[in-house]
Amino acid sequence: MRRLFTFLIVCLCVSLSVFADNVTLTANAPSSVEEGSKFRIQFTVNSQDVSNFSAPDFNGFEVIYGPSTSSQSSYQIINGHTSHTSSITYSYVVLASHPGNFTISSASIQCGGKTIKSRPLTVKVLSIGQGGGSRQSHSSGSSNGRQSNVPVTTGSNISTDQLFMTATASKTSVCEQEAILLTYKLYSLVNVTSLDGKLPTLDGFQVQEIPLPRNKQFELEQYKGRNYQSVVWCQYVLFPQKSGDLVIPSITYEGTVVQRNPNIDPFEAFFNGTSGVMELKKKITTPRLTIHVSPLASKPADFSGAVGDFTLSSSLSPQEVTANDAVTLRLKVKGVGNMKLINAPIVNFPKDFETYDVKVNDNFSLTSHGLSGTKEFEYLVVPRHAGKYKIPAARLVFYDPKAKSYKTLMSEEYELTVKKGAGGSQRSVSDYSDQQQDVKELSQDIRYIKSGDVTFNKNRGFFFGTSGYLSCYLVAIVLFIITIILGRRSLKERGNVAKSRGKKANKTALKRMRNAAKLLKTGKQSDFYDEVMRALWGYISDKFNMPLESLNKDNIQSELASHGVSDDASQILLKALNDCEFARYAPGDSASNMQSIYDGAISAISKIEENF
Amino acid sequence: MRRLIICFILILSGVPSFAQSKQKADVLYSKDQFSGAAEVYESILRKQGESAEIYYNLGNCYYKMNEIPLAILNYERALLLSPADDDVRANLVLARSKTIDKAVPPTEMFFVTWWKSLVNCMSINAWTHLALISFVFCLVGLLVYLFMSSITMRKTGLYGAFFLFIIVIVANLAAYAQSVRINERTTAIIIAPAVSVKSSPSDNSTDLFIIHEGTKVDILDNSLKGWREVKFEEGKQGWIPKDAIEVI
Repeated sequence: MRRLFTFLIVCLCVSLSVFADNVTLTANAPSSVEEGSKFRIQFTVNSQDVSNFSAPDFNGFEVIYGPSTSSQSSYQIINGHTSHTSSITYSYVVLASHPGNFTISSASIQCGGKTIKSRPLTVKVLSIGQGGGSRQSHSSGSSNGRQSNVPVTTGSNISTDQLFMTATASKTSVCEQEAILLTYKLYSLVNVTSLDGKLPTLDGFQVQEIPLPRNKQFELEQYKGRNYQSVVWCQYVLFPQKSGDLVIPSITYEGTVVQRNPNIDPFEAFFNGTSGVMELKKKITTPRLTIHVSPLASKPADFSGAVGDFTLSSSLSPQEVTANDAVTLRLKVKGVGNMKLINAPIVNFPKDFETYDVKVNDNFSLTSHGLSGTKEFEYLVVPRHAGKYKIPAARLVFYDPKAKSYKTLMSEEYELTVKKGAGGSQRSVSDYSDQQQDVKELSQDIRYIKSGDVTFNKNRGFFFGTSGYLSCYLVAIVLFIITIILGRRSLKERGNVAKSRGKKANKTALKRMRNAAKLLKTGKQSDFYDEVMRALWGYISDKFNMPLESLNKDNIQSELASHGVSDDASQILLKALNDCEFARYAPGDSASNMQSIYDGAISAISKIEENF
Repeated sequence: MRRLIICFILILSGVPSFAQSKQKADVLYSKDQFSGAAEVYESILRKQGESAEIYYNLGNCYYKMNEIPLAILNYERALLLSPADDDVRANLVLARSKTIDKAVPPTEMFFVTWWKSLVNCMSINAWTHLALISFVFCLVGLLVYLFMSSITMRKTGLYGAFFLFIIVIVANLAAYAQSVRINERTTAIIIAPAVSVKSSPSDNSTDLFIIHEGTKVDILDNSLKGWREVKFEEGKQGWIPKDAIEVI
């Protein structure tokens, strides 16, 4: 029993604490009211286990009625799951007695030992405007956009100061691509039920509409001394695409206004069944706007097209791969601006990487300052060969309209290590002969400058053709001549070579003849004749300095004659030669023949020697 | 005496300052400050006289500054002084490929082309030195022929001397051809972006054709004050204002 009790208490505590965490006290009041009007302020707490509600100080307002308490609770069972919501609402009705801005301080309530406070409220009390229609009352809680009371108007015509629209641009002087917020606001003193109209296509702008709630919540606003029901009808963010004075033309909306028909008698209307209200169509024309768009200052070559405020971050995954595996480089641009028009920054991957198209992931939403969020560029590359590669930093150049200058963001630089693939080791030694690649020429450039020392020639002077050049030749020639003069003796001697040979001729011949004599004694017949022939021919050749080859028996007589040898002597010589040749092959007494030949040869030589 | 010392100091200080300024220009070039480097090179050329290397570097600066006609002009000047330089030729080809006018090489006999390329394969100083050295060895060969007794040595000496003598003549001719080219300077580069070539040296004469910057022309007549008669290619010649061209 006791255990059960403790369990219940624990459960209760837990549930209470759970409740206490989610309990909120919300205050609700219209943001603006007219002076002298009554309105309701509500404080709602989403729990019933509360106590000690303490009302705030209604500073500047008179409390007419309150607090009235109403409670509400509901149970819901969906698919067996039970949920329970309950709330208590404390309502006050107050009177705005003075114009001005008033703050209602926070109310507080006790819940499970905790004090919960509401947020302070600010209520604007507008002074009573001039002209008609200002007396209309307005139910603050109406969420359907219709006013509960049909305003009384004096005529069926609605003037432009009873129903009009304003067009405002957040900036009228911008630079290209800078976001502008264009707001169309409806002001009315009449009951507008519907409004039709479209923004035409704007030349020179990229337009994006900001989604607004379908149910328009009218607010009381003082405009030019009158209190109007106003609502922001539509909002657009414009990105100017070109420079110059761009015009946003006026738009014509067609509004439907519900009016009480003053011409119909209420009684008649009641009996005849016609309603006392009628619908009127009213055309509303918005003012036209001119926006001055200044061009961007001279664009750098690598301008990405981005205008706004951005940051760049990057990541490479993985940092180590094997060849033929994919690598992803992600560049993330974060910020506010014309996100849609940012071009992918160019990343100069190493040339033998296989690259694929850049994948773009957009994750941004429209705000009044432009598109805000992130844009991610995904570069997929496949390194085909092993090695260490450097992936250079990518540059993103954007225009900052606040600083009115271009800014450059640099991503990180990465070192990528590509290993040889485990299965690809076979591939890496495979035969490339059928698919060998030409070395690709990436680009052409001039060769580098020459560093180091240089030679000058002043006044276009060259060694060629100067007197110095000519004198060099002269010096060489003079040296040549001197050498010849110095060596003239040996030259002269060389000239006497023929003479000395002639002198030696006799000696050589005698030597040979002596040799022949030895052969004669030993009786070697053919050797003897050879030796004698050689002695005779050699003697003539040496004596008259004639080559041996050019001599024969037919020309020897004339040759000798030309050298001044007497006919007599040449006859003897010719006879000796003939005898020698004849005796060689003739039969007979060889010994006596040889002796006579020997004597003949000796006498022929001595005969010629006599002459010279 | 004092004057001599001052003179000496000036010479001493002048040499390193030149070397420094060239180094400075090289550093500026390597830091991609091409216009600064170009200024320094220009001042070196004004003070120190002509140099193929400086002209080449200056041409590179102008190329990087995208002043193609000036780049071509300086490459041509470098090539004039050092016709065998491979780098200059390569860069000149690249710079010429960026001009508007298409240059048609004149048709000539094959031996003229051979002779030209032979002349261009060495600089004038190299030819001069080759001629001198060949001449000296030619004489040595003759001496060998005269004084040696061995037949082979004598033969070698004679034929060698004959061969070297031919080289002496060819080298002198080549050097002469180059010296004529360097001293006369009859070619020019169009500097003005576009010039209309006139039929006679006056502004209101007929326009014959239009020629663009970076094109090389031959100067035929430079006797008039403000006008030059130029020839672009066979059959295309006329008068252009003197300011439109820069002599190489």
